[in-house]
Amino acid sequence: MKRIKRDYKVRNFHQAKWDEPIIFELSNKGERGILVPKVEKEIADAIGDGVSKIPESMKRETLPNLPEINQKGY
Amino acid sequence: MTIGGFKNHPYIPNSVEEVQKEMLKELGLDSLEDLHAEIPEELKLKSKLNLPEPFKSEYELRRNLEQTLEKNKTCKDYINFLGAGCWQHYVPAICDEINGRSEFLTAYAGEAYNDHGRFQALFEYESLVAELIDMDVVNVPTYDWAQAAATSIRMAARITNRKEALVVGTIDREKLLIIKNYCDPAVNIRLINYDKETGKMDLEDLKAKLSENTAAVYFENPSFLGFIEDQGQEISDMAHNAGAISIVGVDPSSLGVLAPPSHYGADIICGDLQPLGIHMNYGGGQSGFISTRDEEKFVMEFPSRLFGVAPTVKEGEYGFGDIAYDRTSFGNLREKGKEFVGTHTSLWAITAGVYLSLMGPKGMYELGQNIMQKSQYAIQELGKIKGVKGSRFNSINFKEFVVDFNDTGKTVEEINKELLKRGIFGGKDLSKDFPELGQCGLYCVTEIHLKEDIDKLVNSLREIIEG
Repeated sequence: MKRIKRDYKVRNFHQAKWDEPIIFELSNKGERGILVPKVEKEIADAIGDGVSKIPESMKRETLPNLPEINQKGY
Repeated sequence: MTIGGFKNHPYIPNSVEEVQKEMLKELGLDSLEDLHAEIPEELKLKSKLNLPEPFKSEYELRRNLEQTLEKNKTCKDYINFLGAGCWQHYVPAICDEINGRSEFLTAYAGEAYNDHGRFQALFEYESLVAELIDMDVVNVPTYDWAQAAATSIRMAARITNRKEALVVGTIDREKLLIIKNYCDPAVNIRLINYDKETGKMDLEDLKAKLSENTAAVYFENPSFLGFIEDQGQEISDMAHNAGAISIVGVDPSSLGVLAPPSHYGADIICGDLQPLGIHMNYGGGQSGFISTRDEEKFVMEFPSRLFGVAPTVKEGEYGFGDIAYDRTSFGNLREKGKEFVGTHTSLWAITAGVYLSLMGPKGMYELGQNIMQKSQYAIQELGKIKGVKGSRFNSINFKEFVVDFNDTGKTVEEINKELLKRGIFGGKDLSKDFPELGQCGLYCVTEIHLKEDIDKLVNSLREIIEG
């Protein structure tokens, strides 16, 4: 093949276009993106659930409304 | 002449002498020095900087750098119980993967021409943090928590047109210095006393110090010393009754299990994003967020960029852009803006967004529970060592707690030196910042600690203290 002449442009500049859903729209109840380690049985036996000691006024009543997604996509 | 130091520097384009000459000719100049002609002679450096010889290849540079870095002992080599504002958490691999993508890594704060989804990513980060703290508006982050707290206080001073802020007595002394420095001279900072048994705010002292000059009351949950402040609603009510704004600093890793400050009266919430997928790194891993309700009197006092979503002219398309851009120092106001804003730590915002999306509601709950269980276990086991109190304060803690060594006859400094020999970073020595506590250390336990790590700490301390 012949070498391409670079004294002209083949195509014009074009801006990146995106058509992506918002992350909350990808949520599927029950999906997990990452698993958090559970404490060892010995600790759970010695301490209990850990959260019942939180003062009443400081307990979170409903879980945060974050999306539930996996790492792979949809 | 050529560019100083190297001929044909690999990171500087057009460093071939012929190319430089051609460019200078085009400009009508004779040498590169002519480019600096307007700098007065007396300001020009005539001699060379006193620097060691440069490394002449990337390999030599890397070799030397790695040798130097090997002198460090990291939190991978040792077990780490230090926190105090920068905490060791697990960073999911995907956080590094996404924030390392060049669209974000190099263009996170660029302009529209290099925007490959950055505005959307920042809008999503803001929405995710807003859900976590149950608030409306979240900013593109500041440098760190201390900066966010200082700006929150200045915002409150502008909203109330008052000149004094009352700040919780157990605040991190470094953060206090930053707040005082940044608020000077607009806002005078006064500390509120704390209860010596519980660590919580002394409400009598708060009552005595609240006045018509009070712009804001600032406190934290969990506190710098780790205990949970459960008088949040009372403190906010007292602030509001005095016409002041309630500001709460919060560790976001606690919010799967702890009530967000918006549930106990906070008007402005701030904190650090570092626990959310950002590695601890010296001088760079912090990132401060600020949040308020969606009310004009608050929104217009943010110095930061805020991103919103709106439909575009094209059906089915989202558009993302700045909200009230002119309010910032980027906008028309420039140096007359209310406060400076820069690109700050936007890359960490994207990282925190990735982390919160991965964790979801259950992940954040399990993280919080894990930390509560582990820290309670550590407090219990440490308390079994002769002369040691696992927790100086009789409140419930999250993640951090003050270990009292006063009855051991040893200083925290001595103990930490001995722990280092055993491959352990002990807690932060509080004896200088909080002399009233005597010999106490601030210990941090998170989901990264295994039972065996905590047991090793306890056994090592027993050996050091009991002999």
